[in-house]
Amino acid sequence: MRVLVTLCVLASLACSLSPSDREKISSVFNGPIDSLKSAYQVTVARSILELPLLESTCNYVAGNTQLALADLYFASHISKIQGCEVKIAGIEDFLNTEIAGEGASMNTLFKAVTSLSNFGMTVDSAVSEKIAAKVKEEDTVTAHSLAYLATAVLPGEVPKDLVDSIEDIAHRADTIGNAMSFEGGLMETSLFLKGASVLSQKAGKAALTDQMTQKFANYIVSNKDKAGKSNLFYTLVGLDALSSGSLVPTHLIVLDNSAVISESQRTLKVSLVNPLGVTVKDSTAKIISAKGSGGQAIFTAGPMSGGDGTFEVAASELTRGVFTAELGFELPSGYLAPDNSVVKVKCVLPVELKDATFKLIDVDDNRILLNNDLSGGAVQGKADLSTRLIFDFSLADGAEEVTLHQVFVRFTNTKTKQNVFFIAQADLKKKYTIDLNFRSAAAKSFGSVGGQYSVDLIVGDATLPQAMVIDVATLNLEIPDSKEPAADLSKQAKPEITHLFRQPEKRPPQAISAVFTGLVLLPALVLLIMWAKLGANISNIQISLSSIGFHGGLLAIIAIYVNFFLGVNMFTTVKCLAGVAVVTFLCGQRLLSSIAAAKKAK
Amino acid sequence: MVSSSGAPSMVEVITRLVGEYTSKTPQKLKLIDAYLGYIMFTGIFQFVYCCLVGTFPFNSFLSGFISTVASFILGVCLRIQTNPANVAVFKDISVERAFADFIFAHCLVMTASVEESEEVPRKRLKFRCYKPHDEHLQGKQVPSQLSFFFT
Repeated sequence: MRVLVTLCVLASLACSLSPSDREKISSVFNGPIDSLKSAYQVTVARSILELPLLESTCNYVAGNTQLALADLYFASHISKIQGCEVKIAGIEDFLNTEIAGEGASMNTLFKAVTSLSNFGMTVDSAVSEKIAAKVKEEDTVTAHSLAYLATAVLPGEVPKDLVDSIEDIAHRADTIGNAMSFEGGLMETSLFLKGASVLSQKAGKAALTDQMTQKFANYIVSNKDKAGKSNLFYTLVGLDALSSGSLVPTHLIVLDNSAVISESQRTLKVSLVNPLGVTVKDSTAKIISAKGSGGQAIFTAGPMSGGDGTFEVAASELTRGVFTAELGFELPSGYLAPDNSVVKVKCVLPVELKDATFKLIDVDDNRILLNNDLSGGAVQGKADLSTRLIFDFSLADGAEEVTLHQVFVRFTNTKTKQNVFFIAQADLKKKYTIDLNFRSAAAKSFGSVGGQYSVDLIVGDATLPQAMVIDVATLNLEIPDSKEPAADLSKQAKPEITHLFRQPEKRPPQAISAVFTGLVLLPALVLLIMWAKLGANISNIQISLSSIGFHGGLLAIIAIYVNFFLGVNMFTTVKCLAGVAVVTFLCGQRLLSSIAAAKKAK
Repeated sequence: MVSSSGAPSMVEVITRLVGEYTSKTPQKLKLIDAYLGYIMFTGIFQFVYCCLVGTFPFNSFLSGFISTVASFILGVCLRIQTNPANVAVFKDISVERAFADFIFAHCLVMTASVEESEEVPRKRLKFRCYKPHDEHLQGKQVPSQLSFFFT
């Protein structure tokens, strides 16, 4: 909530009621009247908005008022504003008894005192001491506000310390961004402003600073779009307090959308209003400066014509662009200058097409097929893949050529209504060119869709009164229709997913493998032959246990390896090997050592 | 056959070398040399195969080739240790001891190289029972020699 309020204010929304706001709020306070409270709110709101009061209110008050404090409070206000009579006996006694009561709260004192004053009855001046004591006791923002309101209607001098307390109380408000409010929200803030306003007026001196006033105003105005009769009522009360206080913040508004200057509308109209949206009378305004980015001025510096809060000034010279007009005001005393006295003024001027040439050239033989300056309106032409389009033009604002933000050439297919856009670029001499080769553009830009195209030039810019669409030509584009209509794939069978297993490694032809197997085995054969030739033999072998064990063991080991190679796993292999190896080792050791010993003996 | 320069020709050198080898080398060393030659050519043929055809199966190639290199080295060791010319160097190592070392080292080399090469032969030789619902056989003709396993 707080955040929203802050955002509204930071976004620098209007700090006053606009005519439409006033109208909207007025419609809320049209009735119906179903209670004294609503009668009171309608009457007060209509008097603040200066609307005719409702006749029916008086009858309602006459018929429904009881001898009760709340009823009398509402009825007294209506009776004072509207002049109705409340014919109930003993009002004065009743109210004075309420004031004299021991446990009378600040609220009771306020209502009783205000009612007495509204009915024109005499109030005991001693009540002001009671009020001062009560304020010290309760010491809330609301208690202070009610005390201000009650004291203001009492006859006699205003106690100085009460007036001084206004600023202290104001310091209890929270500042969020540009707005200031009390914790109790709109109602508490409005009541405080009302109390401060009436009391300081009676005391004859401003109690709040300029800055505080402006910030409170920002907060109150930010509530103008809230729903609920009560919210709107307190918004009005707050704005009324600000508008009738000793310091009135003002706000500058631009009337009739006149910040856009054109040939038909050369006058800037502004209005200076108070928070309620009422123009500030007896004020004068002047133009301090009105410069554009180029340094040229749209208004001459000096006083603005008009008075009574509404001022106008005519443009001295129409120049395309955006200008910042800084205004100065002289205000009656008690009014604060508006926080924003700068108006952004835009001057819009039409442009026209100038020096246009629309050329179609055959790129194959450089023949000019069409050359037209468009003075006679749109032209007819024919183009195919070997055609090149060159469209030159400038945009002129009077005699001067200008460049604008958005300049396009649009091709619209008359049959399919499809648009193709080309951006026109201006060169340093502010001359625009579109150079289009249909051979490359056909597929890329036109999607190979031929047929009749209407060619328009579209010009848009913030400084144009409105965007321009100029019909330039009608082109018959002959493009070979290469594209097949896209098939609807969604209802067709999806391609079959085939799983690809790992491809086996490439193997050589069997013959090669066989040859190499032979080759690898061949040395073994050669070995045997050579050994035989060298005279290797086994004649020396001894028939003994160790010899048989050793040789048998070796053969067994080889057999185990063969098995291992053929697929017996390593554990089995190692187990077998362990047994055989031990036997072989022992026998081998025995055999070889005996051979060695025999050799030595020789 | 003496060349004009007086230096012995290539043919003469080789003839003398062969002659000396034949006459002076002990018979046992010649047996070992024959073994070394066998190992060397086996290795060369494997390498040529690898260069010409490709490294698949790489495990088998590696184990085969490396086992020939290892065998060759062990053979050379055996030859050095049993060479009568080297008796002075290896006077503590008898011929029988050298042979026993040779046999033992060979056993280790074989263990390692068979283990290394087994990857492919085992896959090839291991029988597998194919089932009709095997995913990768769905809709495919089952090899006729395997149809036996379905029954």
